[in-house]
This record gives sequence, C-alpha cells and structure tokens, in this order.
Amino acid sequence: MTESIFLLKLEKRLLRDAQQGDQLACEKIYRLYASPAYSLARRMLTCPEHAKEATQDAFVSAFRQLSRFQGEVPFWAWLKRIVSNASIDMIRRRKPEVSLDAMSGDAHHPSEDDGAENQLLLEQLLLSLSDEDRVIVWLHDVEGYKHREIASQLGRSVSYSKTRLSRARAKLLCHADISNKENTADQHRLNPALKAT
Amino acid sequence: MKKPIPLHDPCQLRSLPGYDAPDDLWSGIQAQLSTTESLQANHRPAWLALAASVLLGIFLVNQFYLQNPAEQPYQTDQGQVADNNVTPAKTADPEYIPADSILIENQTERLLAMSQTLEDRIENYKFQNGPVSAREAIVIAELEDMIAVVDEQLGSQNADPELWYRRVTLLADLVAVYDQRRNRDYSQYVAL
Repeated sequence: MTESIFLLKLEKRLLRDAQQGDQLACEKIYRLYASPAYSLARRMLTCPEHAKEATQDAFVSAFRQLSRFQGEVPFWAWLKRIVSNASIDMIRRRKPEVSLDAMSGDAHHPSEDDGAENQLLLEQLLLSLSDEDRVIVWLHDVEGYKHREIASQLGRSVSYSKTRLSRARAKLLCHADISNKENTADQHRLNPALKAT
Repeated sequence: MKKPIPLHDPCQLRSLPGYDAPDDLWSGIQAQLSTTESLQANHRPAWLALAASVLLGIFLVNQFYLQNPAEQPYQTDQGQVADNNVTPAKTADPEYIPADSILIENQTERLLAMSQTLEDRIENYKFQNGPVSAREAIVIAELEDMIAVVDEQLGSQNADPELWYRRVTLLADLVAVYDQRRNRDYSQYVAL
C-alpha cells in the first residue's frame, strides 16, 4: 500500500526551533512539506492559482498556530488537515464555475511510460468530477481519511460522504472502462490481426 | 499477469504523480507572515498613543478650567451655585443678563481659541512629510471623520460649548498621533 506523500519524518529539534519563531526552521519545514501540500491542494482544487493560494494560506495559518501544536497527532497529519481545510475553504470562496481550460492549462503531463495514458485519462476523469466528489474521493482513497472526518470537514453527514464516494468511484471506473473499450476497439480497427488473437 | 486492484483505492488514484510547489510560494508566505508580525508590533503602540491622546485631551481641557476658576460652569460671580430656574424678578429686569449665558460665551471663546491653536499645530505637522504607518493612517482618518461630524453639528448649533469641547478633545487626540509619528521619525533619524 502506497502511503500518503505527506508521511515525512520531521526532526523534533527543527519543530521546536520553528515553534520558538526561528524563520530558518520554518523555511526548512516548508521545503519539506511544500510539494505534498501543494499536490493535495492541486488535486482538490485542480486550478493551479487556487491551489497556490490555498497552500499559502495553509502554511501561514500553520506557522501562526505552530506554538500551540502539542504533538497529539503527527505533524504531517496536522499540516495535511490544515491544507485540506484551506482547500475546502477555497472551494467555498471561489465561483462555482472554473473554466476547464484554466484547470488543464497547466496540467501535469506524465512522462512517456506504460502507465502514462492511464494517468492522463485518470487526470481528465478527475477534472470531470464535481468539486465535492473530487474532494471526497481524493481524501478517502488517497489521503486515507475516514468518512466521519470528511463529513466533518465538509459540514455534511457521514452517509452523504459515503454516497458521494460511491458515485464518484462509479463515475471514474465507468468512464475508464468505456475509454479502455474504445481504445481496444480502435486498436482492433487499426490492426485487424488482433481480432484473430 | 494483471496487478490486483486495491480495495481502498479502486480507481488507483495513488498512481497519479505529485506536483512540485511553485518557486515563489515561500516568498508569498514569508511576506504574509511578516505583514502580520509588523501589524501586531504596531498594534500596541497605536493603542497606547490613542489612550495617551485621550488623556492629553482631558488634561488640556482641565487646564483650561483650572486657569479660569471664575468661569466654572456652575459658579456665579458671587461664588454661589447658579440656579438654572431663573426667577421672574430677575428676568423682569431689562438690563439683566443671566450669569450662565456669559460663562457659556466665555467658554466657547476660549474653546474656539484652543481649537484654532491645535488646528495650526496639525497644519504644521502635515507639512512634515514623514512616512505614516497603516495603523496611524487609520487612526488619523477616523479622528478626522469624527471632527467632520462635530463640525457639521456646529454648523447647525453654533455656540454649543459641549460640541466645541468635543472638537478640542478630538483635535488634541490628532495632535498626539502626529506627535508620536514625529518622535518615531526622530528616533529613526538618530539611529542612522
């Protein structure tokens, strides 16, 4: 099982220095968690600009509250929660419609390997989901949040979270199946020899 | 052989790559953090200045009354407590002018003079083009707004000493803010 990219070990001393207001320590913590935080925001929001803004808000909020962090949960889990909350806030603040061009303009293009096509397809399918569905499916399937936690973050019921997750997964899998079938059909059309096999 | 589909991630979203954070993200965070810190640092002196200015205003007005004991609002020339309900015998005298009306007139004149002095002082400060912090600018704007409201009221009821008293207090507050700015500029100049 692949763990969340947030799961990084933070030295206690670095955390203590940052809690005492050491700017250099804060910057080191930022460097360590910047990409996982931005990735999470980007997956939830899709728009690069919004993701950047949400990540910035999250880090500012985290550094302001750092002196109050008591270590009841691992630092990465604490920070991840702040980033996901900032992203949900951004979804609530922004206009309902964000153009797909703006989202995909800076889309991540995976490297040319065996899974590249599948990844590209999955990226596109994620973009096609509604904000809430995407947030739920990502927080649950990738970040490992429980329905209870997602429901509390979104201000919804647990059953709502479960229903949306099941619908979002169905949508992703259904589209993926159709696309795979189309691809196979295309391949058969282009290469009739494949039919015989 | 096909890889088994994980139950917790049936869409295999975890296979998607992460993103690199934008290069200028840290500078934005740093700027936002430093703005908050400087605002917090400015917060206390600004309120101290405001409290000091209120005290100064009260002190100035008290000084005004202490220097003119004969003009205490509730005392007549004979040292007796003035009666607000003027007796019919006194009003019947055509040459009689109520003592409190004289006092009010004198008070207003003095408050007007103080107001003018403070205004001149503020005008002088305005010519000294030092930098104004965001908090000072807010306090100055608020005080000027309050003075404008008093001025508007004075337009309708010209000689009300209470309004003039309020105007003088507000002007004294404004002077205190400018004083603080001048002192800060001077300390920075000396530090150079």
